[in-house]
Amino acid sequence: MQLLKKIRIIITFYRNFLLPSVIVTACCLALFREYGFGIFVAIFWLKIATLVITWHFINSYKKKEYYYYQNLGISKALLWSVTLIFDIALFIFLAVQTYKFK
Amino acid sequence: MTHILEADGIQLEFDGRKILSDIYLQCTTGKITGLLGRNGEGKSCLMKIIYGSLKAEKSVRIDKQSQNKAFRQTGLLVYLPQFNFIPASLSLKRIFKDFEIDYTLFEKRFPEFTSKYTSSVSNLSGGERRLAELYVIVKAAAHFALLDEPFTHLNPVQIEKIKELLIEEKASKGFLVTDHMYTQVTAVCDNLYVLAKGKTHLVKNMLDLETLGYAKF
Repeated sequence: MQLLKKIRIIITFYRNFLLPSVIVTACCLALFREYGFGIFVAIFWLKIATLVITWHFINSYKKKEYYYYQNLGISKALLWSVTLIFDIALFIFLAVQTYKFK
Repeated sequence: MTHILEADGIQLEFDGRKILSDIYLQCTTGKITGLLGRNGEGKSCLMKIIYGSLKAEKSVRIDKQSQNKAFRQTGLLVYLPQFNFIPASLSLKRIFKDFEIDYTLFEKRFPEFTSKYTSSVSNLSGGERRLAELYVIVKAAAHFALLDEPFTHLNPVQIEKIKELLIEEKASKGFLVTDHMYTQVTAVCDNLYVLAKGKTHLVKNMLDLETLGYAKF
């Protein structure tokens, strides 16, 4: 139950940047589909760069909201590690699927 | 069960200026501890240091166990910052669910929230938003609650109700409260400290507030 609650709260945090993340992933995958494996390194770093910008944006404009999560026992480190790992893993998974079904 | 929160050995400086240097503060279950101090004396910093969100040289202990980042342990410490901290997109329903608090009791105490259960925080007025944030922190399942300016933005009726709530809740919790509405703080607190020139002073009588340069009677 506590795990489900934690997941629900982390998803709330992830929603902060879900839309821009989906848009960037979609653009990267469209480029990957068009130009093939030769462009993968470039789109991978593009994805990472946008996540760094997102991290900077949230730390600048939404830092006060960290207290909500901390008061519920979820640290900044946990919020970011779970959401970034998930986001990058999803990106790689979708890139593999795009390559397979190209 | 009685819990004891102690903070000392705290050193904090900004740009070579010492903010906190000689601190001793104790807060126990069943007591409301007040913390007063002029602007810039470091009251909010002290709370953040105790909570663990601001790094500093320190010794913070709960039941004699050292706590470097107290907030990481669920049920130990919650903190109401002086600004709004709940994401505006969340509904009251969701917030009360996250903190596992009964909304009907809240509605009963504050009837102005009747029919606002599904409202998002962004649709509340500034005072309502502050009240909801304060209520969830006061009622949250934790040994201690640190309240930074809990009375600010509330109307007099709400302040009286919050004071009643604090007195009820202290049976199972310890509170550390700071607010410039010092008459409200002194009305509910069992212990009172004044933070002046980086040091905490335990107040023995109200005249100490004048001696320490905090208030003028």
